[in-house]
Amino acid sequence: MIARCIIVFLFGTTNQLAALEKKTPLPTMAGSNQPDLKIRDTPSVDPMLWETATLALPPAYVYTATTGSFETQLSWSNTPLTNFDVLVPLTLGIKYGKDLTLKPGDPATTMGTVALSVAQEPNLQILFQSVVAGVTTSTGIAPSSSATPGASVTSTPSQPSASVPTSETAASTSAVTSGSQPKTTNGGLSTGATAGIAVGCLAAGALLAGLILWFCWRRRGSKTQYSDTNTYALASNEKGFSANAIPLTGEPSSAYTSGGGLPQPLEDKAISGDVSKISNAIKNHVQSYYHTSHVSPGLIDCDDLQALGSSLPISVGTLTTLMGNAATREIALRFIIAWVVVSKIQPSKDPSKSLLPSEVAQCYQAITTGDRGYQGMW
Amino acid sequence: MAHWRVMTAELMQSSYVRNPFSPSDSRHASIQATLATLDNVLQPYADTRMNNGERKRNLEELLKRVALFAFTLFSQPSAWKFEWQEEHGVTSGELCIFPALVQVVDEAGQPVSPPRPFSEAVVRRLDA
Repeated sequence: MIARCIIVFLFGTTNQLAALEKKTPLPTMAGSNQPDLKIRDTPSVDPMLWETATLALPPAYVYTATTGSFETQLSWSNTPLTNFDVLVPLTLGIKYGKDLTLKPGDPATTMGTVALSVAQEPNLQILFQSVVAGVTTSTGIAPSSSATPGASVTSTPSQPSASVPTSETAASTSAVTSGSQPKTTNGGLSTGATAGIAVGCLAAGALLAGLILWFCWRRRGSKTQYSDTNTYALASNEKGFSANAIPLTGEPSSAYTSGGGLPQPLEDKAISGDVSKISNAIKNHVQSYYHTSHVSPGLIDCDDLQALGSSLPISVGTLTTLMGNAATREIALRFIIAWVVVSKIQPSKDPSKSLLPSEVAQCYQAITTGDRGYQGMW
Repeated sequence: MAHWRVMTAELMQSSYVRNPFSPSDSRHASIQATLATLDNVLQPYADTRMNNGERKRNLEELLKRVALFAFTLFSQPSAWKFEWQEEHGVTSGELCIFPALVQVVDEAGQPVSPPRPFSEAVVRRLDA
């Protein structure tokens, strides 16, 4: 009724440990109640060649008669094993910890304290795909004081846990011996640790990129704000102020390039767009608010038309006729409004006849006095 | 001259462009004067179905827009001129009802010849 538990460890990259194993072979324990230990040799020699060793220290396991289970705790050189990858038993796996199962094909599991439990059965085998010993000795694991130096695998008693059905373990034994290829793993970081590092690096990279973008955006945003406050559209450099191309004054070029106080001229589109908006506004105003029915001639005052300006391109009489005619009234009204507003866009000798701010109009009048070349244009 | 205009306009930005038509804006008087001049002519033709106050407000907004544009043109280094297409006189059966804006001096102070048009004149036939 006493089972033989053969524990097989595969070592992919831990050749150093395998070499250590060879130098100090584990003592074979007498007695059928000591499980044998199978350690695979250096993988490069023969993947299917196994070395067998027995667990070093009694008691190697605790047999619980009530559950028929066989329990042991594994250590490698007195360091409890923390990372397992089970190869056999195939279906039910092995139980560890509290009601946790590790089956072949499951991701390697990291655990602090390992208590394995398998059912008692002759020729029972547990095959681990890979085993990684923990870096530090966990508390709660009693170190084996009489451990042989260099002993690779030890077992110490642990608390009983659930058992594995015997039929399953028997099936898994045959499966292993029929030659499932053990795969080699490196003994470095666990899958969880690798994933954690990857996610951490990704997050740090994203944070860094976000910071850089934020700074760029702020710098550009401040520039945009500056140009907005000036309400000047960005103009290309060749169109902008170039001191060399301005012969109006004798100022040195540094006044423009270093001072930067003067804004760029507006884009052509902005100016022509404003003109067409005004033209449309006049048209909409006339079409919305004026009728085309007959108007008594007595209501039309020629003096008011005279007040529109003295240099009208058409005579007051003609204009009166056009306004009296319903068909041409819209044209006449649009002409009148346009004539008045356009004449007031331009600076005038009389500041009250310009829509420019009065101080500007007055200064302008003073400056252009005697400079007839600027009259009528600006 | 262009230099003075651009610099003056830049210094007056805060009172005439960013916060236009504040109570102290000197353009209110000229806008009201223009409004009165135009309304003397337009009043007899106002559609009585439309609100008269709304019509005046619309016309006033139109004049404010024109005033803003006048300041915009003033602030440019270029020099401009409105062309009324005199050749389309009444005798030819047409009337120019909105002039073309042309640039006569460019940003560098060089005369533009022939003047560069910035907008089209609006000419209507007098079919009546």
